Amino acid sequence: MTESGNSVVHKTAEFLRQAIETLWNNRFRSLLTMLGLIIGVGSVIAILAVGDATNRSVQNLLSQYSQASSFVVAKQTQPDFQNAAIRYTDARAVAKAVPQVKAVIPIMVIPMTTTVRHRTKTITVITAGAGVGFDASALEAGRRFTPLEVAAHRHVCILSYDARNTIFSPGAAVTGSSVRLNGSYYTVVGVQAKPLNAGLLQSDSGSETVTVPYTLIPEFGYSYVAGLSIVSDPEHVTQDGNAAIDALKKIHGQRSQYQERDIKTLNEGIAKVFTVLTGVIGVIAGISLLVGGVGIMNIMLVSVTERTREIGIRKAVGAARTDILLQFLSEALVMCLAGGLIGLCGGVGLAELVIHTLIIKLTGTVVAFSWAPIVTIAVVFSAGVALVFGTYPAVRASYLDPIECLRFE
Amino acid sequence: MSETLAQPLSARGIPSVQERAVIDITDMTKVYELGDIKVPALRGVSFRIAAGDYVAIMGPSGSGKSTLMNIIGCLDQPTSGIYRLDGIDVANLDDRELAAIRLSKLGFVFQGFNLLARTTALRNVALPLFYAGDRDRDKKAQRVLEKVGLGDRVQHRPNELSGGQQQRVAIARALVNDPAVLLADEPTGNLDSATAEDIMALFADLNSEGHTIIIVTHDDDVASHARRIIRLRDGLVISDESGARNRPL
Ligand SMILES: Nc1ncnc2c1ncn2[C@@H]1O[C@H](COP(=O)(O)OP(=O)(O)OP(=O)(O)O)[C@@H](O)[C@H]1O
Ligand SMILES: [Mg+2]
Repeated sequence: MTESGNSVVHKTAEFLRQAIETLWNNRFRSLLTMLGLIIGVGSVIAILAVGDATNRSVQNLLSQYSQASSFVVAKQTQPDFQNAAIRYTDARAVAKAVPQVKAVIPIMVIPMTTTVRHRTKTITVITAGAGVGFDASALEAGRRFTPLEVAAHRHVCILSYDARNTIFSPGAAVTGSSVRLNGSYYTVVGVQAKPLNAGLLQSDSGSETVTVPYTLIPEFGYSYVAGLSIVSDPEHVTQDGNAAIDALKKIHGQRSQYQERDIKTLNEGIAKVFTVLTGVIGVIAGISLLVGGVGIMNIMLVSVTERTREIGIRKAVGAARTDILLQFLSEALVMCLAGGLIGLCGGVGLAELVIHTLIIKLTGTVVAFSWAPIVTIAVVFSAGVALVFGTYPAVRASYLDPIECLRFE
Repeated sequence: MSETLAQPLSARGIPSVQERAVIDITDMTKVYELGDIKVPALRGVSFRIAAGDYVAIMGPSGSGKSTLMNIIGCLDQPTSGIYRLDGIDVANLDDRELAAIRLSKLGFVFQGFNLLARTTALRNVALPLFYAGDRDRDKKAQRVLEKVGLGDRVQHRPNELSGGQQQRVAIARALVNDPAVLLADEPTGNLDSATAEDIMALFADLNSEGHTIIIVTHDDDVASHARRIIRLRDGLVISDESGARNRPL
């Protein structure tokens, strides 16, 4: 007897429909059977979604920092820190030694006093070069420094969002006005946009800052600086940072120790953390799916025994082995997909809860996780469990002898 | 009344009834093994049944009637001997082919009805057609249910039907794929005599339409409807009488 492909499709659709009906008629029992799978899929989905959202939030926060800039500092603990300390003049020497970089900017963080409504206030002054340096925060108004301003030691500054609101009344246009720092006047050329809320990761110190050209450092009376900002491109940022370190060692001696920080290295570190996390999830997923799957197999074997007579009747009226096999596999598949779906909903719900209560506090920003991989994982895992653990009971059902089944009480 | 069901065998291009055995059994034995104990249920049975015949199998309890019917219905295999159904030696068939034979050539009415409990009469009757991949199954099942007088009970489940009605659903299911051979193991065993008469009348109709009918019964009245009576005792044929009624053409 030959069946057309069309009738096979029709039969399969009918098996699935019957499976849904059977499971719905026994919905409480089906739910209990699926419980292991629901918890397994749910927890994996929750962990994945939280991990994904956290990763995205962190990436979002890091977007304030330039991908093209590396920051080189002398290590805090080293035999001769005094000797290793970076001098303002090193910047020019390093720039010469590493010609492929766009700029080498000495960075200094200096507390200065300003007057806000007749009261003296301390504010953090940070040095920068022309254009985008280490800090890539967007500007709300005005512009960054021009090369001329930097070269000509101009007294210009860029205010952070908080500094602007502290020093000036809200709403007023401030570019072009002056700010007094340690007794000298600086013309405001730009104002930074409101920073991303960094939640607990945010440091309180850095919020009220004023940025000035680095060429003013000698004028402030400093010859040592906190570090060098090496501006290159995202591709070579780590490499160029290390080249700068080599140049510094040539100047300060090989015993001097420096370290380099950049977003690229940081990202690689974060990626490593997430790789480990994924591995852990994999193990949890494996165990929970094994437990869920064994539960499903157990109940299916019971169900096959209970339905021996039904199997006998079906075979006696002309069901082939494949028909019985498909019937039970359909039930396993429908049950696991339903369980996977419930697990998915539960997992997403749990993830949303964790994200909105914990992650939002930690990172300030919530970036939604992406659905596609999570739904795919839920579907693939549950279908996989159905096939791995449903096949044995289904094969067993299909091989039952019809006459033995009909005698079964 | 359905055209397909009403179609006599001769109209399906099958040669003259006398020369063609639809069932051909030679030296058949069946031994059940219960641990070390061997229970011989059939001990060498041979007979042929012509297409379109109406045969009753009788015999005391335990004589091997159900065993024989199960083998004829391709639900069980003999221990030895040859069984040809429509010329095909069924011992050589694999699972798929056996299922196909059950679907296309055989209709089995069980002693205990054997209906799917939580399924409507219509779905029960349509079941063989589902496995045959027939998309018109509901329409056909409806027609056959009407034929057995249950046109108004199609949506009832077995527990919502009387014993006689369940038996008729079982008969409708056996008939729905228009089988050449209809096997019925004690089809009237659980029924009152009036319902039994109805069912016997239905069988007579089916036989006149060309279906070969084999029934197992203890009841002489029921057996009197048949043209031929095969009697078993202790797994052997002890008599085989034809001519209770006229043989078919
Ligand atoms: N599954 C089995 N295992 C062992 N012995 C069996 C089995 N089925 C039937 N028998 C034995 O085979 C013999 C024939 O049984 P069978 O069911 O064919 O009898 P029967 O003629 O149909 O009887 P009844 O009229 O009571 O239905 C009996 O002795 C019975 O005990
Ligand atoms: Mg019997």
